[in-house]
Amino acid sequence: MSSSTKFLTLKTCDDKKFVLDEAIAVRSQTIKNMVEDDCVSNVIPLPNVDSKTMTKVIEYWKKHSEEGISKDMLMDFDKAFVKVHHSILHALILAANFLNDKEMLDMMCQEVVDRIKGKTPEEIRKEFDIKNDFTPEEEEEIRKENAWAFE
Amino acid sequence: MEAMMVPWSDLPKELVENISKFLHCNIDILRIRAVCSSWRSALPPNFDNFPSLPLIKLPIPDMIHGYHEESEFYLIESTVYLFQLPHPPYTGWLVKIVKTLDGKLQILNPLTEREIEDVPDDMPEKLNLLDFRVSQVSKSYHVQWVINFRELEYDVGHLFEKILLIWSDQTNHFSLMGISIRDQLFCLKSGDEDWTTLKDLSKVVDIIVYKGNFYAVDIYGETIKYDPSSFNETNVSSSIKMLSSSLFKGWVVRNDWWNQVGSCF
Repeated sequence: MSSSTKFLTLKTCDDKKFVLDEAIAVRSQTIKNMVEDDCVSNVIPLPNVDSKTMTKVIEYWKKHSEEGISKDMLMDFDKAFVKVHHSILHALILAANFLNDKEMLDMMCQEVVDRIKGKTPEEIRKEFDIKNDFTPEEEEEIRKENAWAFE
Repeated sequence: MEAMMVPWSDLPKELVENISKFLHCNIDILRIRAVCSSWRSALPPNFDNFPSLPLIKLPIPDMIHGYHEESEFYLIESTVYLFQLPHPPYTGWLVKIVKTLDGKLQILNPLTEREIEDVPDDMPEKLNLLDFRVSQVSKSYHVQWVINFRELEYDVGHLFEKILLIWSDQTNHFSLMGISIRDQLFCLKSGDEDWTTLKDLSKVVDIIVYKGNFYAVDIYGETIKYDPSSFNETNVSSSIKMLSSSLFKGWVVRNDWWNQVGSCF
């Protein structure tokens, strides 16, 4: 068993470098594929992720790689982790998607769903700062789609 | 370079799809389609806004004698929703909605299961989901007895105390478990010509579906898990000897915290 820890250097789109234990970084399927294909030189560029987002991602990866951490502690961590402004949530979803970390992506999608559930479309727009860009004709079509006719 | 604020409406299509997979209530899918044009185009348009089960015609239960020869039995699904005004005073209503065999929607009182008859005359015949916060609370099933294509009243032909469905989207197969009014346990799955009596349990007091399996509890507290495809049974908890009085009424209770099912008296 090899005891030497290998480190990888990740470079985000804003040119910040993160040095990370390879065993942790391969939680990203994208990075894992690069490592396995041996196309890793010194630095792995992550052109789609900025440093602020990557810091959050690494915080998540490290917590989820901690030895002996209890299920309850992880649950508490995850709960607090997703309670962020919607712009950060958005950046994390894109990052998890690009890095191909399914566990993290699913958790983020679940959080979006939790913010959507039970709300009206108007309230969802407000929640995520989305503009209503429908034409009056489309609005009409949507109202029809959402009508329930009773006996 | 500071992170740019990318609007949510620019979320790639496959991610909108991925998010929609976590929505189990189709009203929420309708909602996503009503938010903005890019989200709308990410999810397919053609579906019924009140999706219902495919018509499931059931064999005639054994317990029925002297039935009319034109009798037919169908499984009917009803859903309890919470509607709430999205503005003060945020009034909420719990309603049970059932789609009749001819495809019309009826509003029932979720407690009495009867049609709400004293609805104000000025209540619109169409209810628009966009005007309310809507959450799906629960689904339940009953057997509709039809004679000569005429649906009998809810209570006439009350055959089952409770009936549950497990539906598999992958195979389009269903499994049903029901407690008859005589506390017998029946089951039926796609393709079966007849109901099967699960004889090993008598005096069944409650059944539930938990994590894709049926669970039944009898008045002695014995709890059995049934696999929905084979109806093979596994004993989950044995009987509590002291409770032999039929005065005791039990329920199967799911406990998500402990990830298990138990009985409660």
